Amino acid sequence: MDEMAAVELLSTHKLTRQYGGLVAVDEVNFKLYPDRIHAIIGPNGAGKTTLVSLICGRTAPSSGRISFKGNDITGLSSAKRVQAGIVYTFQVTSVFSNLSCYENVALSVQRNLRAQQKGTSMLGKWSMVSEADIEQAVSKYLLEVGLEGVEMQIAGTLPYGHQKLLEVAMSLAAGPKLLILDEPTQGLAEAEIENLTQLIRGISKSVNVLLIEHNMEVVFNLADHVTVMDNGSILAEGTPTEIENNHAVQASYLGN
Amino acid sequence: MRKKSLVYSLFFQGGILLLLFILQFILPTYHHSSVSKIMVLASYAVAYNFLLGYTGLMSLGHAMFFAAGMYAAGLGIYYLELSALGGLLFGAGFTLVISLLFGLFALRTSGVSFLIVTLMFGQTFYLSILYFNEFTFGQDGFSLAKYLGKLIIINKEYLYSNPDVRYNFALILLTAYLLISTLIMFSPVGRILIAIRENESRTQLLGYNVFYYKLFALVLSGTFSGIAGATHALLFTYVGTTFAEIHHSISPILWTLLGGAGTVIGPLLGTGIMYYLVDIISGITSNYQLVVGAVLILMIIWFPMGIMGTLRQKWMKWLP
Repeated sequence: MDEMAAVELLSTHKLTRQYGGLVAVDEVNFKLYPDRIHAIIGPNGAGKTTLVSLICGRTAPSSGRISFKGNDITGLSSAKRVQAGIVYTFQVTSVFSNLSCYENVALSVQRNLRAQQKGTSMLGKWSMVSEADIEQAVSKYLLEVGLEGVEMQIAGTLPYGHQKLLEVAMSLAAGPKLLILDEPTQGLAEAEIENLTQLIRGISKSVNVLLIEHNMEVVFNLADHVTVMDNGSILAEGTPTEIENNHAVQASYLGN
Repeated sequence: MRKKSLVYSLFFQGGILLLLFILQFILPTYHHSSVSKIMVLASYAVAYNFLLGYTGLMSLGHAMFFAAGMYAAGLGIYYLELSALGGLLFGAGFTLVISLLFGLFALRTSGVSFLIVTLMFGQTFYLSILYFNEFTFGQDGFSLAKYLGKLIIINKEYLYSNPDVRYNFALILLTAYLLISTLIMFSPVGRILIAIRENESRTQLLGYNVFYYKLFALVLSGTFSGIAGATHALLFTYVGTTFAEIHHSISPILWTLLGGAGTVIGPLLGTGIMYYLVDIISGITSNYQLVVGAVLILMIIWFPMGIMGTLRQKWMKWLP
């Protein structure tokens, strides 16, 4: 297979997380290659969210290693991993609900702009990011997710589907190299799912996307590569068609 | 949009400060002195609000910072024969170090544990002042009147405790504090501090090391409390343990909550109201704390966001 020759963007080595007697993620060797949408599927409790929590640093592993772009990131804080480009978008929306949409995105934009500015010159290193630049970038990201004009609205008052989009805008504004979307379509109406699917496809042209998803239609529609998890381990991997025809997967998960 | 809000709030605060400036020519002696005192205490509350209102960290040991500034300035002037300005700078430097060390330690905890740790530190500091009473003059405290030089403005000598000097120094301190906290809150750093208050773990997952920002807020709040304490020592020429006691840690919480936590002008308003409330009621009954407590309970039931917080929510959205 040619993918063996490609350099992986992210890989885990015997990554394990135990909660008391329960092994949520069990010696997982997960590999993610650039330039494609990678989906993780599996029944509830399979360890999908725990795995991505370990990857983005929200949870510390019990053992095992994680490397990103060839560097070991196992010991890095979650903030450092965001700075390196691993950005996690929450399953349950976690926007700053008392702040305006503008502030929500600005918070994310500001760090990214500052990081870019630091690289340019000595002056850039010490000066603040201009509010005009922030405003411009905020509008850009809100437009990208289709939320133009909501700047002044308090994030908590947005409809649920829009909060999800705001969450995506915040993640994009952080300048991700790898965007992890944890069940983005959960709780959304049919039309909203269609809209979000298109958005994700658009995003994937410039950003690597790792998707955790229950909605099989969305998975088979979007993903180039699928990993199936069950009981904390990887059960199968392959293209959507391969997964669909895999007997073990059918037995454990797809149920037909 | 943000800029407009900044301009509005600077004008608003400018108006209030101008009013305070004019008041000194009108107020009778008694109230003149009260307002001087309120302005110094309000500066302390502004410093406290920076941590509670904007960063969302509640400390029960801020008297430590106030007293550290006060004692460092006072003892520096007494033993090291520093000038008044020297004492002020010494007090500021000392609280900077204290709050940095304290922050590195206390910020490992959060929530209720943080509250308890701050309380413990505050009490330890208070008891240390009493314990080393040969050096600190213990419970009696000491007067600085004999050791403070005179202030020379345009070839004229003034005492630091001169009512006009006192009033205007307090006003300068308050102005500086309000201006600095407004500018910080409208800067990118202020945005991050508010985000930490709203949702700390989300802020971390946007790529910010929240520990450093909390440490910054704590050191700034602590040092500013210390400078307020040092200023208090100079203007009222007295250094004493009452300023290190637990009630002096609780006071800024009450002032801030009454005026409105997370608003720039709230702490000033809260301090003023509470000061006069205590002043008036203690003239009627010695049990003034009962009445103050009742007022606070009513406040929290009807205006949980404090006076300015409620105003902001209802009418003045631009209020910082």
